[in-house]
Amino acid sequence: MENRLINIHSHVFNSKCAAKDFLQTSLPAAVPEWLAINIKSFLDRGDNEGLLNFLNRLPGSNAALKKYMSLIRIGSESTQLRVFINLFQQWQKFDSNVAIVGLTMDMDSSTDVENRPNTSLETQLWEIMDIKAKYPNHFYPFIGVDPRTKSGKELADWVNIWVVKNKVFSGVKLYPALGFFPFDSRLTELYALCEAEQIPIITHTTRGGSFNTSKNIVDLVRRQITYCLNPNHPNYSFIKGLLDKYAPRNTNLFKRFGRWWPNRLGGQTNWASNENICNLFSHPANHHIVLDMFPKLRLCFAHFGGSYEVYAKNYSKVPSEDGVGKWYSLIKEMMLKYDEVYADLSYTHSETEALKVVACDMRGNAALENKVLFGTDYYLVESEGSESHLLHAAIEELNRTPGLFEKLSKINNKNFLGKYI
Amino acid sequence: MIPGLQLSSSFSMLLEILISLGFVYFLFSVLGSMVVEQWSHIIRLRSRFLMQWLDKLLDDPANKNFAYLVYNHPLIDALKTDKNNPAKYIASSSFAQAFIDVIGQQAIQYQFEKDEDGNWKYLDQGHQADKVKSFYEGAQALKPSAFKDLLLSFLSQNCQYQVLGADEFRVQNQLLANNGEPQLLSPFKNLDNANNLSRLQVSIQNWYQNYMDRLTGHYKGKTGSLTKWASIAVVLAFNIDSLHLLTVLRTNKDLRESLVVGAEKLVDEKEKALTDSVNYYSLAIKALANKDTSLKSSSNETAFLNKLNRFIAKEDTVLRQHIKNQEKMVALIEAYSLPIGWHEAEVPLVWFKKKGTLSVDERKTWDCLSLLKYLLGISISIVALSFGAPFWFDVLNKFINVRRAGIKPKESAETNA
Repeated sequence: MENRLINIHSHVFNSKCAAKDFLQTSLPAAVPEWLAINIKSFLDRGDNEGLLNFLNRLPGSNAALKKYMSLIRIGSESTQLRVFINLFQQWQKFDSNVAIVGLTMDMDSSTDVENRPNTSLETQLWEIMDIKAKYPNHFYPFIGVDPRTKSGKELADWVNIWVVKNKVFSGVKLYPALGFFPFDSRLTELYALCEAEQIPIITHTTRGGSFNTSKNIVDLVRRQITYCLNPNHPNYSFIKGLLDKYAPRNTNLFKRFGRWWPNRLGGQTNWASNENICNLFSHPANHHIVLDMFPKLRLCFAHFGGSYEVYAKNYSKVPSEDGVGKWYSLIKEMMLKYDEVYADLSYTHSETEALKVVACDMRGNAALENKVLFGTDYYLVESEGSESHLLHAAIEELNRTPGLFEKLSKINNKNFLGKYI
Repeated sequence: MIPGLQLSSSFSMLLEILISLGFVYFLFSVLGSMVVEQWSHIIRLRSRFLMQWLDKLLDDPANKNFAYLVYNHPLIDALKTDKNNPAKYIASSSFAQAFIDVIGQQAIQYQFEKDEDGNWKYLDQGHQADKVKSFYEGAQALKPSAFKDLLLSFLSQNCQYQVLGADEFRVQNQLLANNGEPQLLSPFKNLDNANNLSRLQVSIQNWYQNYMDRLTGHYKGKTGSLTKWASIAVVLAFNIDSLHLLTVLRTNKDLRESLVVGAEKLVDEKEKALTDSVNYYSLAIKALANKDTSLKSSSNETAFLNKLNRFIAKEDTVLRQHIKNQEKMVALIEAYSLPIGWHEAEVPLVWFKKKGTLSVDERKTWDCLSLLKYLLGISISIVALSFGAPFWFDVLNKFINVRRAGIKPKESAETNA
């Protein structure tokens, strides 16, 4: 099992595991909630093959549409096993012994109660365990946690059983943008366990992606701040400052209009949308607080902050609360400061420009080079291109520094997983 | 001829008009129900409905969505028509088997370990031969919920078993250990190995079947609302103006008589049928079997619909059959040359023709009253068609019986002669 290819970041959940209004995270803001729910309900049924084929045949059907259709086709598979097999077979062409890390997500609290997923986290994990039983040497799932579902000792005990004792899962997945802060006090016992047992944690760190689609997002952020953060904590003023600066002042106005016209509310600009408010949860600085308390925590910042943060492109959608490129710099700082902090290139690998920047920064910096991991963010990355096409392009780009792809995807990934692979 | 039994000619004509109108409504109601069937097939209404309802029945928020797990059970998964189309119908026996398996699996504790070579192994706990026992253990492994109580009630009400108390369980295991025998892994003791499983299966089948009966009722309600939409579609597609139809039926004796003959054949065909269940499409086809469809089978309005239908049904054999039947039905109806359809010389298209080319028929001159009459005629047709084919068949049956009671039978007339 030595020296094998590892994909450190992939997803195998199907659309049934996602919240009913999940598509609000990817459809234009003008699309009303009811329509987003109905489109997803149609996709969940999985009988969209005919429609997809029809759209494919349309003369105006362009490459971008085809990529989205590929994403839909995979996401609407009837089981997670089918999604996994699709990925596994593609990677087996590169290495028959490949190891796939599948990240589960707790989406039960990612929206309002009425829009919760049909397939709860419990059901999602049960199916994942069955996939692990079928592919014990190729599938290494991470357990998705959210302090609003389970918290404190209960959460730590639960993770202890499934990761340490039963060894079904190989790590923990955090997705703060779904509505919680990483420094939430209800996660303290979990961090203590993970630090003691060297359980790897992958945390979502990019603007956008999935986010909380609740109608009361502003209230949620305020509640979380009040509930989670001790006012005496040294970082309190930083976090509170972000909230005061960017969260809409008029909550009622936001509720009524903010979701549909996110850019047109005077003075609030981009921040009047769930997508951007949820960046408050994902902000890498939030992890400073955690790492201060648990400096030996094995933590990976997924996506390295996102491609546009990496190559500091003047991305119009990025609110400049601390300047474009700041997230990437913050992550690098933490990687150099803490021994067990990593970052992965999943999704970001779809833009070769971003890979060039990371490869350049790694050159001559062994501390950084040993802590960059390689994953693809399958199948969510399908909207950028097919898995195998993007993988080929990434290998070509990274291997401009000879052996770099092998180092990231074999050695670094293995070191990060430690005894859990 | 006995004068007291003879119907007056005006009443006879009224009856003929009513029968003709009822027959037209019946034919288009059948067509409407075919449209509903076709649409239900396209949107896979039956399988969606079943999935939604099983989701409601088997989703336990405190535990898991068991509907999702049942659908992924090999027995149910195999019922898919293709990889992504779930089953339209699940037999109660298949459901019970899959459900017992799914609940039984809940007691499994997935565990893995790494061997010396670094290979991961699943520590398979083996399959429980006693499915009743595994069902009990699976149900016990769930978190407290109403659904868990329901599962345990299936056992307590139908099976004979014993659950040892904690002390008794310990004592029994101690005794077994003293005798060198394998220990009990569970406090559950199956007291009727031979019958418990079948009893459990039957109780789950009954539970499921009762639920499916309710589902069928709701499904009919759902298709009932679709029928209303289909009625609107059919009336508009064929421009069926009931008031105009009534006027023509009053004056056109040939049309009236041919429709009455068709209606009588329809009722006779039903009497010939040996079963109680009625397929109105087959009845209508038999009743219209002798009509010449060669002349009118491809009118303008149907030609477009046929093209559209063929495009939709390109790769679907079931849908193609639906459409074939529909086309046959339309062709047979058209053979009657009914005063319906979208023609330039007819209302409402005639209203848009230039002055001077108008006919002298006052109905064909546009004014508010004629528009109101036309809209009223269309509305009456929509309401009439929404009653559905079974309603119009019953009405026809009654009218024809009344008519036959009043008309001297042919045979006796011939005998008298």
